[in-house]
This record gives sequence, structure tokens and C-alpha cells, in this order.
Amino acid sequence: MQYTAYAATMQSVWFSRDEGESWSRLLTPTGGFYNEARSWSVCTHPDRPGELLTGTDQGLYRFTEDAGRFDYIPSPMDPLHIQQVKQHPKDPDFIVCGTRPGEIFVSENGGESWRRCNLNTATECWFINTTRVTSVAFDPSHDNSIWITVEIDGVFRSDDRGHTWTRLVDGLHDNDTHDLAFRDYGNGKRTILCSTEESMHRSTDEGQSWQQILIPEAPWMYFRSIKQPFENSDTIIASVGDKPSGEEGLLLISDDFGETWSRCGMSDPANSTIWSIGTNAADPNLLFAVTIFGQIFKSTDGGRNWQKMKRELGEIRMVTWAPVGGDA
Amino acid sequence: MALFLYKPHIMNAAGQITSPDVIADRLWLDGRKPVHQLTAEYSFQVDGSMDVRAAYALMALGGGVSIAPALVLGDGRVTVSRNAWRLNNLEPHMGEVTLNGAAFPNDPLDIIAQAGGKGLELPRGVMAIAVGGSAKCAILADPKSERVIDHRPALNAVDEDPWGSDRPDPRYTVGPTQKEVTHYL
Repeated sequence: MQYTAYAATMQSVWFSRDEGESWSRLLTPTGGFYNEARSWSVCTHPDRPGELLTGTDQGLYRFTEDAGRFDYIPSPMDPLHIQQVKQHPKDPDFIVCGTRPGEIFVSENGGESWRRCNLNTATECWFINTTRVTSVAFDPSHDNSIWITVEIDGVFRSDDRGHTWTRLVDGLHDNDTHDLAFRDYGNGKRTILCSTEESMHRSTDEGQSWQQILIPEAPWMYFRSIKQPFENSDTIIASVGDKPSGEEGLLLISDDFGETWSRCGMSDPANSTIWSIGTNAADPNLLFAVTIFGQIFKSTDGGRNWQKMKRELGEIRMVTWAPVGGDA
Repeated sequence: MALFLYKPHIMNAAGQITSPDVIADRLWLDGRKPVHQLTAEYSFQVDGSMDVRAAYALMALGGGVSIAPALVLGDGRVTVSRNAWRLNNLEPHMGEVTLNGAAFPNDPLDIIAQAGGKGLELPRGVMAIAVGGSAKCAILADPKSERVIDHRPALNAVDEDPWGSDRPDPRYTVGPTQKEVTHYL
């Protein structure tokens, strides 16, 4: 399968078109935006092959293979840091962006117009001064529901496409929340996992309450990215590091959605916390993971074993991949 | 020194884009105006009765003056699109290019001359604005290349509150610590 991998870095977006072996940026004269723009997020959608959205400190941009460049999308987020971009699985024109300061902006027409949600995040945080959105997830079972994590202010859910929000922090040992994963068992039963600075948390009541999960296999408590290679499966990969940004990190895998864990095989030690894991339903066995300080790991066996790629980049914040060409 | 940092994405005749960040420190809009009236922001609060006029903005650049649609608000603010073209790409067929479907309100070469420039060149740092009729958007259209730049910033009434009584409180949080901390409040 032909695919392109994308890495959001503090020096714009890097592309790999040879399975992660080599990485390059678009040419500065024709790339469409500043090659040293800070990019925090990348998003692809199966209905829009060859298209990539990225959130930066210069605004929101859309890359298309046809144009071979990024095009600027006017939005009220230009002065903000666009740290998260996500398209609804059933509607690529339904775009949700999370920013620093911790705000949510929604477009339901592919970025033509935007509304700022009245998200009741903290407007001031002693520890980091300013809150920021660390993940956006569309509810896998409820089309109008959006979940987000905020550093440092907990978990929020909207059941009306972002018009109103509920803060869900009961039981969290730490509101420094990073990522969410959902497992729906049918008959309304669901488990949600939330990664935080103080280990993983689990909810079985739609986030109304959380229970901390202590994971003996993890030498540290700082959990960051959690991803299911297969949608709504019991298998989940989690990244954990010594701290942000950290000096060490590793990956864990669970085949019973967080009840038990084991360490993933890694060819090389991580040089910092693994910040992002990139998956795509087009091939659940193919995953990328990146440390915040530039290492890139690839797995071709569903996340059980990881090979460090020779190429390293600068500071990486997110990685993803998508089929291109005839395989898209 | 007051300045406006303009970050245009300028599409050339072949459809390629270049993105120079450039400083404007002189604004010409029927005479010298304060440069801080310039903005590229997307959303504005405006008085309900405020007149808004379509315009185009010319910016001095090394590769040729850029042209972008703009709106001039009744209070003097000028919102300039970050999507732009190069004037020298349009010059051979300038008469066909339209602003909101009509001929340009002023010849760009006249505006350049009034702003201290000559021919197709503006002095460094100068942005010059040509103002057209009342409109809530500014659409620059080039029929020859079949390209359009639609500048349509959100204009909200200053007394409009989309959140009303649902406006959240300005909350404070400590962060990931259970320890007593010194708050710098």
C-alpha cells in the first residue's frame, strides 16, 4: 500500500513518502506557508485522500496532493496556537480545532465559517499559565458528541456538536489530561480510558466519574498518547515517559482495554516522552510513534514491536499517516 | 514605530503561492492614516449602523506589489485578506478584474501614484487602499485566470452576545500538584 506519513513539528510539517525512511518538508518557495512555522497537529480523512489539515502558529492550513502545497484557511484562530485539528469521521467538513488558550472552534462547512464554543475551561493556570487543548475525539457511537482533554483542566464533553459542554473531572487524580480512547461493548456498556500526568484513568459511566489505574509495567506515571490500532477494539497502545518533555519513554500494549499491560518491543530507547502515536484504519498493523525530541518509530505488527527510523527530526508534536495514490 | 505585520499568501499566474511576511508602516487611504488601523483578523465587532465598504489593498513587495480584497469599516479599521495576487500578473488585463462584480473603484496605478509610488511600484512599507461601495464582503475576481479571492470576515454587532447568560466564569486552576503552592495573585 502506498502511503504518506506526516509529522507536525516545530519546523512545520514533514512528509515521508517512503515508509518513514526519509522525511522532507515542502519547498519554501512553493510550500504555501512558513517552513519554520510551529505545527502542532495534523489530520487526514478517508473521504479526502491526499488532503491534510494542520494547525500552526500562523493559522489553519490545508495541504492537497493536487496542488502540492498548503493553502491558508481564514479563521479566527490566526493569533492562537492551533494545537488540535480533527475532522468528524462521517463528515470531513465538520472540523473541530483546539487551541492555546484552551478554546474550541468549530466549522461545519469545511472551514468556510467558524464559531467559538463557550467552553468553560480555566482561563488561568498556576502551573502553565495558560491552558491548552491536548486532544479532540469524536464520540464513536454518538455522532453529535465531542470529547476533549485540556492541559490542565480535565475532560470535557459536548453532546450537541460543541454548543454546550460539561466538565468531567470527578475522580481524576490529576486534571493534566492528554488523550482519550473508547471501547463500546454494545447494550450501552462502554469503557473510556484517559491518559493523564498521574497514570491512566478509567470511566464506565460516560466520564461522570474516573478511577485511576496504576500500571506496574510502567516505570513512570506520565501517560501521553493512547491509540487503538483497530477501531473499537480491546487492543490499545499507550505511551508513557518520565516527564514532559522527559528523557525516557516507552510504549505499552494492552489486549483487554487496559486491564493488563505489557511492554512493547522497541529497537532503541526513546530519548524523551513519546508524544504521539499515529494510526489509520486502512492498515491497523501500521503505526508510527514519535518522541517529542524527534525520534520516529514504526510498527508493522499492530504496535507490538517498534523499529526506530534512522531519520530524526526536531521537536515533534503529532504523527499520522494515510494512504495515497491508488491505495487511497 | 507603529507597524502592521502582513502575512499574505500570494498566488502567481501559474497558481503557485509564496508567503512573505512584510511590515507595513505607512497606510494610504485617501491620505495618510495610522497604520494600526490595518488588520488581517477574521472577526470584528461593529456598530450595527456602521458603514462597511469593499476595497482592495496594494502592498509594496520586492517581487511586485500585491493586491488583496479588503473591507474598510466605518470606524477606520481596514481588514485585509491574507490571500492575495500580484498586481503585475493582472496588469495586462486589469480592466477585466472586478471587485464585487464591478470595475475597480480606482485605477490601481492612480492609487499607487497617490501613495507616493510610480507605475507598478510602491515605496517600501506602504500599503495603499482603494475604497469601493458598501458591502459586507469583498470579492476579487479575475475572469482570465478564473480565480477568485472571497474576503468575508465575520462582522458581529458589538452588542451581540452569542453566549448570553451561558457565558462561562473566568476560572482559575492550580495544575498537577497536590502540594501547597505560592500563588502569584
